[in-house]
Amino acid sequence: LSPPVLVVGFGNALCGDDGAGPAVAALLRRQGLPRGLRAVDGGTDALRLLSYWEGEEDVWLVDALVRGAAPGTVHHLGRDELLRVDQAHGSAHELSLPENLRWLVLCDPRLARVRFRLWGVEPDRLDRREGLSPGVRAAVERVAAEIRRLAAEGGETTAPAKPLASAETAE
Amino acid sequence: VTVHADHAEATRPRTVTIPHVGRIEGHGGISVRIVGDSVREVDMDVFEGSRYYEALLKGRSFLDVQGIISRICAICSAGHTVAALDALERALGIEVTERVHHLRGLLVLGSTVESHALHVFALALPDFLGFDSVIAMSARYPEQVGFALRLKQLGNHIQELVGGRAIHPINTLVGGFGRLPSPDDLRRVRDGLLEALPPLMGCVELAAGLAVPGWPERKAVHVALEPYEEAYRFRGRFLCTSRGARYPVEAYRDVVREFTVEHSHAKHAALLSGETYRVGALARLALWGHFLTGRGREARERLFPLGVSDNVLFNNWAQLVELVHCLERGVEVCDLLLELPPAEREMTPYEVHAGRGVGALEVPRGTLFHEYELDEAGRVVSANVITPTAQNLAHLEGDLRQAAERMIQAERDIPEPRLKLGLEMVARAYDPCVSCSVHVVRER
Repeated sequence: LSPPVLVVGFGNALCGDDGAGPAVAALLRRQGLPRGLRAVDGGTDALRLLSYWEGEEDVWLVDALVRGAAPGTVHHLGRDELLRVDQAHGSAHELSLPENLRWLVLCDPRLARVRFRLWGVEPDRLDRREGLSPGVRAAVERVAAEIRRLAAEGGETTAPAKPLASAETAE
Repeated sequence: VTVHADHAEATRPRTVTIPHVGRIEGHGGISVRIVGDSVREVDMDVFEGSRYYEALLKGRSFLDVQGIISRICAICSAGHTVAALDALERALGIEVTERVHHLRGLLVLGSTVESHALHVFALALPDFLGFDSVIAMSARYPEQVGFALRLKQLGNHIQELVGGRAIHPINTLVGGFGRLPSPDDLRRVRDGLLEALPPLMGCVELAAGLAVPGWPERKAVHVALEPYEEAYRFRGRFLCTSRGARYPVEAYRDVVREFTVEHSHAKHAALLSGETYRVGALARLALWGHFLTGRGREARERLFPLGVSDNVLFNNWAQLVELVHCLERGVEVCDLLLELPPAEREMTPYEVHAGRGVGALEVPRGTLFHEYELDEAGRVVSANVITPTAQNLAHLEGDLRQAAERMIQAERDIPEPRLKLGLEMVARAYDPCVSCSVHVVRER
């Protein structure tokens, strides 16, 4: 069996391609999850991670990441690289994903051994609309396939999960 | 972070851009243009999002409203949920039970704990203590930084328990609740709230020893809901001003005059008299602080020994007082719920029909209004949401002017970074929520 893995998709599905993370989580759940893998929609507040983390040593995060590359480009950041991203604030009154992770790691010794990694999807549109742009939608499928491949090595695949409520399938 | 400075000799015009406040894709945020020692203009290109809500909700079933509205902002999710349910139930003529009233009260307290803990400790205190982030602050204040995270998690936990899950609550329904928390769950929450009180009072002591700059101080009209009973509460059906006026919340459109300004994508608000006003913790404390009891009262007396100030920087300390109150009130609400006979779910039966309803609630940032008009099938014909941030924007603009001018008058050659930090502190003190912000990771 594969070791347990928690996949968390972060972002706001009401803000165009910011919904890439939740869309990956929703797609993985729709397709059926390899045994040992959980996928959750983390919404927009990464400080809530401890509410649904069940001790998995691999926590794989998916979020929109602005690096100036072509829309739909998928960036891969390891734990150290992610924790070093120099961004304190996320939105007007929230901290950023890297800052939240720094705070969690600083205060909770259980997280010291967690192997965080980030799939960062370069967004195209970040305005207030539901649905992803075509390039990001394709990237969401690539990221989901990559995560499934990585996690399913040696593991079985469970039956597809029940379809989610429409608001959760942010594609 | 961008500072534009044009050092023309005589007037030295400069523009200070305030980051992280209303900074939305395609919009410029807030910038203050200073010429000599006076502020020429405060440009607030902020997308606050009120108009977006209506577009998002129109035509949807009333049953879908909560699921959509709770996704707008994680931190504000519970407040929007309770205000929307209040409005929809009034449109449909539904009277909720005492248990539902208290459970929603607990949800609001949990969300206020979460929001205030994050704002006071991670966004405001580092400024006052001379650190550029909560992480940097932990080098000298590790206990407070650790406690702040635990406090925020306690607020989250309460919302999860009442709302049914960690992200996007599903348990709160029009007319009632899907699944009720067990007595054991409520007792654990009660214990957690009691445990958090002593360390929180230690933080009140820390704040009481800090100097609060006076530059943004100016006369303010404060507005808040009158508590539904003679106590410090976040719900009520009358809107009161510090001028002594009192209006039923159904008349909010007559009281709050919304207007659009050229330099902003947000609606701004003023009273009918044309005066700008302030909502939020400081306004609540100014109007209803005398209702505080116990440790909440102690915290108010410690942090406001001379009475509640008009200086918005004290909004941070008002939030700290409310944190103390929320812990104490949370214990009381758990006790009230534990006295009720056990039940698995609680729903008031209702029939769908056409109607209109206004919901109002004091959320962490101030008074929140939701209004819905439904057709006979329960579809949303029109929706109006006025957030506290939209109401505060015009007053914030005035405070920024005042603060910039005072800082320049006190020190004509004030270095740019210090001026900017001062203005950021003023903007941050309002704890603005620019709804529907994107949350992307950005690499510089």
